[in-house]
Amino acid sequence: MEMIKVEDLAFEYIRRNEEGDVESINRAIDGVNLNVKKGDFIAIIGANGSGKSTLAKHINAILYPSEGTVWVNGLSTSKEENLWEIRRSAGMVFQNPDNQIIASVVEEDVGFGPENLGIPTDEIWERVEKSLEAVGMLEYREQSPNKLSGGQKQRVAIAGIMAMKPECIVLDEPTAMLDPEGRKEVVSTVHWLNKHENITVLLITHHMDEVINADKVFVMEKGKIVMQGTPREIFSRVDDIKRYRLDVPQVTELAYELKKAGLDIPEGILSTDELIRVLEKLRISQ
Amino acid sequence: MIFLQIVFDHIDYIYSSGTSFEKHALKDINLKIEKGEFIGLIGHTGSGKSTLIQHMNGLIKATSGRIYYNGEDIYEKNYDMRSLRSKVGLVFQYPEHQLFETTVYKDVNFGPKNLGIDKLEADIRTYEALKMVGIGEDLLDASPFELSGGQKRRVAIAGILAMKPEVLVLDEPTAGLDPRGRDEILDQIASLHEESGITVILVTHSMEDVANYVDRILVMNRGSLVMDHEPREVFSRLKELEEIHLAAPQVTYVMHTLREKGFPVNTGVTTVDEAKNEIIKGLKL
Amino acid sequence: MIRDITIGQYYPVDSVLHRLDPRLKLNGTLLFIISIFLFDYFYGYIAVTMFLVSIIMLSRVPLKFILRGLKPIIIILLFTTTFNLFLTQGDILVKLGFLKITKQGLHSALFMGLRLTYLILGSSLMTFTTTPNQLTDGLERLMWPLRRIKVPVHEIAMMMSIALRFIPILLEETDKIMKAQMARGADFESGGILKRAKGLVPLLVPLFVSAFRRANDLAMAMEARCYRGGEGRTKMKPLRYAGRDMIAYFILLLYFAGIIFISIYEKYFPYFDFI
Repeated sequence: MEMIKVEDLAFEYIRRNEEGDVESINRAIDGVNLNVKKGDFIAIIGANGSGKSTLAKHINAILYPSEGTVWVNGLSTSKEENLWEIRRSAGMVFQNPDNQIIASVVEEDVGFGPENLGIPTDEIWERVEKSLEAVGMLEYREQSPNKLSGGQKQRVAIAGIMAMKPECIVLDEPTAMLDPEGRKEVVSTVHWLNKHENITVLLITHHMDEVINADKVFVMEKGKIVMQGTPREIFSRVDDIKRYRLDVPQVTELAYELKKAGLDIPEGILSTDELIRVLEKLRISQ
Repeated sequence: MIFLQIVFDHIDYIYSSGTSFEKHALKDINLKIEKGEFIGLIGHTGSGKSTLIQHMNGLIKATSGRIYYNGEDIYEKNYDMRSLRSKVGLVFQYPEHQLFETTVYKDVNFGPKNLGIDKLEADIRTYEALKMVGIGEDLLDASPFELSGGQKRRVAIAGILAMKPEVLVLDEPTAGLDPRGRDEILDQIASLHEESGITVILVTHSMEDVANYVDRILVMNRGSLVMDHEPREVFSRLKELEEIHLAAPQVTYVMHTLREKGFPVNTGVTTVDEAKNEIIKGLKL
Repeated sequence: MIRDITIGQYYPVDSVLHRLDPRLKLNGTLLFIISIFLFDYFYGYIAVTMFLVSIIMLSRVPLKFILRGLKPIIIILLFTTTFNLFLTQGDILVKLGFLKITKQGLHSALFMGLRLTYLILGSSLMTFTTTPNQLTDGLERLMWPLRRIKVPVHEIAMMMSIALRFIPILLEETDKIMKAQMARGADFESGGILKRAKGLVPLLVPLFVSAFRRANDLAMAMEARCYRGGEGRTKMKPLRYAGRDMIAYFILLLYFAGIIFISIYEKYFPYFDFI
């Protein structure tokens, strides 16, 4: 069964003037279809304002479709009785690390979700400990979140989701406000959870180097999905990617430029090692 | 002729001194900046970059040491701090969070109005600044809060440019923007530097960003200035950079590894274009 | 400056005091505050001081840190003591021109100063040893009966704990916006009241915008984590009185009874009868 299934989704922001008449309609999502299998690591990239955050909020039932349907774990987000089960099974991590930590002590924040679910106290403690351990933040459990770095705060936020035992995590630009080190921390934590806890991951970002290890990448523009495929397939189309206000990793671009200059290099090189290997082979064959 | 614009002479900054929260944020910083330079300031979060740039326009006063601007000691008793703040324009991180006026025009006009120059001159500067950052006339009367993220940021930068600073310091001007938005802002800053000869100091985490634009890089670590060289020299010290949690651009890694494997390539390479040429040259040999 | 404010901060060490139930600490603080206002005489203060010193020692919070909490109120403290010292009528001790110090003035200045200091020390000790969350939990439980008369107890407690979490963030933000506007030539320091009030607009508008944005984000994050009010919610750290809390209550009552005894005793047998 699919973890997430999005069918013909459209979402409109309607702006009204003071009299309540419709002033303008902005179609933030326009006919999106998307399937995510259990255990997948999916990345969604797109320029600012391409609709990727709006899409993410649908999966957590924070927004409801204007048209079409979103199913999470087989439950339609349009039905109110599914609301809490959907929010439990598809946790969401937001962009600003400060604005999603509720408590003044790390462990109490991680316990916030389970408390809302009405989990018995002893089990909350177990879950908090396990979740903090999974994101590598156990030693900070009694600290104030204000003393943590951005990357650490995001890991606490992820632990807060993990404590609700979700099947899926949606991360809405979790690294946009972090430094390179914080970004690495967060992305490798998410990969670890995907691999070892079999959590389905939906990572939204505009840092291209964060998506090269995803199972599948979706590119959004103006509310539509305009490209999809493996990272290699996506990044071999450098010109298309750039047209959508995006970028490719620097090595990918270098490989692409070399290919354009006439060197025999395959498409969609993603890592430094890969490029080196190809160049070594080229030299030997010469 | 070399004209020294900013000089840091043995600057130390310690805050909350005498308590358990004491922090030595800057340690013996010595620095000379010439008029018209384009400098990248790099360092891990908490390395003291932001503290350093706030010394440049007097928002933070050093615990010890002297700072000279255009040859004058800014800690001298009668020094005009407010005029220094207009000469060294500091654009903070997420500058769009400081917008407050009802229209874009009024917001950008706030800075020059505070300078006490006549209204016409302030108006001219406002128009010029908005033009420089590529905000069209159709947006002058819009509320700054209705603009897109990238537009807001450009309006905020115009707010500083309108004061006609001699030095422009930008703290992470591309944070949170998408790749194209990032390139647009950086290109605009670069052409501004080229056309008006303004001194630019770019604070950033991203080596890729600075490599393409600046001609000098300052690297900070734990409050000390640990490197001060041109980009290729800085990036050639891969090991040292990694020790202080920084990384060179990916292409630099490619070139270093190729060199180790015996390719006849120059490792002092910082951009994709340079790397491409080097590799083609190396393979043809 | 903002960094100096320690009132309301939590100091994370492990001590007996830290482990006590917040309800006990809230009640205890209340009793302590009442106790310092119960009398005006010497023995009583010895008793209160001894109690406070032993609490400070038990808390394992460094004395330096505790005293720093007094810094922001030093002006108020000086003001009240001077006021009391010079403006109380009574038997004149010293006369300096039109200023005169009376016996009663000296007495009330001394005790007023002590009272204020002890009040701040006592209540800040509570916040040093109790996490804001425990504190609000404690308040929530103590106010629980008020739910009968439709007081939204859970909501108030939740609002308090969120406020406590965001105060340091908003203070930092204020500092940042202020600096950014100063870089644009804003002036927050000179001019008359009207000019200054107008000068605050560039600070207040961005601050409000940011506070609303944060509130909006936070509400969304809370809902995304299945928050739906106090109904059906369990607690990670439910409040349960332990044996040590009973002992502490006993000691507290003993202390309070002792204080009452001393205050009555002193009324009839004043130690310094010149006061």
